[in-house]
Amino acid sequence: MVWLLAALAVADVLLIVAIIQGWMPMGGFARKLIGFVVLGLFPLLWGGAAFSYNFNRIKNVEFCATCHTMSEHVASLKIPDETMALSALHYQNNYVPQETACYFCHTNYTWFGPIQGKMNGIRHIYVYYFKGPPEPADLHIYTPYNNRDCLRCHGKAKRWNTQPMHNLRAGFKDDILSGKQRCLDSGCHQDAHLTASKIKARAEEDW
Amino acid sequence: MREGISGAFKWALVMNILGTVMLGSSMFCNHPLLFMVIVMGGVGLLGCGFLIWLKLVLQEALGTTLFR
Repeated sequence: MVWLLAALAVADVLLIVAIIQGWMPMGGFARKLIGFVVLGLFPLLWGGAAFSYNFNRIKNVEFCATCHTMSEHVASLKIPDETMALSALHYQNNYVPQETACYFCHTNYTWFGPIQGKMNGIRHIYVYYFKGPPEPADLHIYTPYNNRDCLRCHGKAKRWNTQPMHNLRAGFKDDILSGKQRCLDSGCHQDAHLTASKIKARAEEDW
Repeated sequence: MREGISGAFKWALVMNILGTVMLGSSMFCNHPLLFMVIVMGGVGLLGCGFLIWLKLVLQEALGTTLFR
């Protein structure tokens, strides 16, 4: 796909250079036809395809990992899942698509969720370059993780509904469903990512 | 026939080239900041080239000058 798009881009550039340099006759109908193809169709079709390709490419874990600040979080996907850290558990058992694991969990499942995800990406760049890169241990998401994003998959699952902890007391499950009780609260699923910094800090606490 | 190309048409072609090169190179770029800049620049330039062409087409069809 990428090579096809690249080849089309090279063809477009060569065609335009030929037009500007006057290597091709540009009278009446030919001018209109080439103008329509190069300036009308190409930006819409090729531009749309290239933008769409990029839009999908940046969902990949590899792209998130290009930012060094995220290296600990990306590495936390591959720690033993026996630690029950949510990211490792979901990634290693393929509960989320492995190629796009970051995007899958960190995008709101709302109408504008993917756009909001991209806006957050731009915000990451702003924070990195204008406020300074945070230490991996200080990284946090901008707003508390929404229960809705967990419950999209788990909410209707028999296993989740019959889990004794989710039925701890009357109304507890309703509190989770309404977001009053957060899934990622301390004592519940607090380890979304078990990063090296977090493991080290805990080891020091235990010591 | 180089003289057959109007100034605005030439600008549209140049913007198309620059936009294509920028958006094309973004497909191979993995640096987050650079990626963002060249995608935005590429889409912007391609879009500008397209709009200039559209203006020329409409002008020719309507027989009048738009956005003087």
